[in-house]
Amino acid sequence: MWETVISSIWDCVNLPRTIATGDDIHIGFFDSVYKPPENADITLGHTESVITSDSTETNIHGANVTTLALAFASEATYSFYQVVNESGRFGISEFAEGIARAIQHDLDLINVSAGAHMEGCQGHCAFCTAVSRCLQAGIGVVAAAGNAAPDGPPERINCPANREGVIAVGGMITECHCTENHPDVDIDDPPPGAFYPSPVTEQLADMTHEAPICGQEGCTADIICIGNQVDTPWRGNPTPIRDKPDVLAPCYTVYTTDDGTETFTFGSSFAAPVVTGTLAAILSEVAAETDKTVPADQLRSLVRESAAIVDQSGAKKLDGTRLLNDCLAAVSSKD
Amino acid sequence: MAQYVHPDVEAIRDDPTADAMVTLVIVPEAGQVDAVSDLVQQAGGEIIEEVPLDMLKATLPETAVDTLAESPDIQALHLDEELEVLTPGNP
Repeated sequence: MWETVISSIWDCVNLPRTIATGDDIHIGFFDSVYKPPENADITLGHTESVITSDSTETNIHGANVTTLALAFASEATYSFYQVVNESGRFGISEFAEGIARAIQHDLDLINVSAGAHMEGCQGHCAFCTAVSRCLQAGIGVVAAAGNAAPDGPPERINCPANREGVIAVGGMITECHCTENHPDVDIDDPPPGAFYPSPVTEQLADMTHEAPICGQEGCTADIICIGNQVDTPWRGNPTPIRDKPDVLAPCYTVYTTDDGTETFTFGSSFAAPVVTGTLAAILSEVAAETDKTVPADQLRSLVRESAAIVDQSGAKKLDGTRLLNDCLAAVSSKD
Repeated sequence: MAQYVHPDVEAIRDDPTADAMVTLVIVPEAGQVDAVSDLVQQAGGEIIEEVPLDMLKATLPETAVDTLAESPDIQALHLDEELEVLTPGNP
């Protein structure tokens, strides 16, 4: 199932299949792991734990996040900053400590699939302050926008995603509407090229969409996907505010639980590494083609301006091909 | 005054408990770490940790929180607590 999921995400974000795979790009992950996922073929940078824990993986979250980025940037260098404890929580001090270490490690990008809503923050809270130091150091920052709780009140954009300069990522799904568009045709539900994300992590059952997810492989042998695909913001996204989130990306992944069951999970946590991995691949490609680097302080605007409209709300999704072209144009204009 | 005061700190500021102490994470304005350290001590508090990125962790009387919140040398005030983050099943 993993290959189907990654293929669907890859095509959804319109990333060329022939693109570089992150060579010479260094990414830092602020999450629950300080060692790479088991069996991962990875170029390892730094492994740092800033929490009191004997576990290399306080929960599965960090491995799921990292594995998604690896799918797009397999040749990048990966550094890990374990800031999330066994309870799925982190402290401001630990986050600041991790950021301080990352700044010393000459990273290109960091991924923060974590955050908290800070009522009234205009970019001045401790989380936003910490990541602003990364931006000042020339490190691009990608952060999860946050998730609304099932049946809970509307969620607001989390910090540090809310910080100016940080690429805030929300979730989206490309739904398959083949069966309802072709009521006279005998089509399986889901069509062969689509899939229902099932089973799904129990607490997230209410956050899944009714329609199957497009696998980008053709609905059937005779029916292509175009016309049956509906890009839809994920129902668990926080309420947009000002220009946030900056971009949407597929927000699902599949992992194997302890009892061997392949289980889906959703969240902006898993949309962020899609953007991080895509950016790493693109930055690597730009460097390979031009021997130039895209300035970190331009990344957010490049991602925003190249993104593709999803629906009438104005929400936009990551478009890897347009982003690559815009990055190439940006470095060329510096000549 | 501080540009960001977390609502939980604001609540203490509005209704401090006499004789109670609170531990805060303080983000000083750029170049004002020493000035904020002095302010904390003048307010009857103590710096218990210098946090990376020029932040401070301090214990001080709840009745002194208002003094810090009014200081132009302080950018942000938070409680020293762990925060929930985005994990599966913890949306």
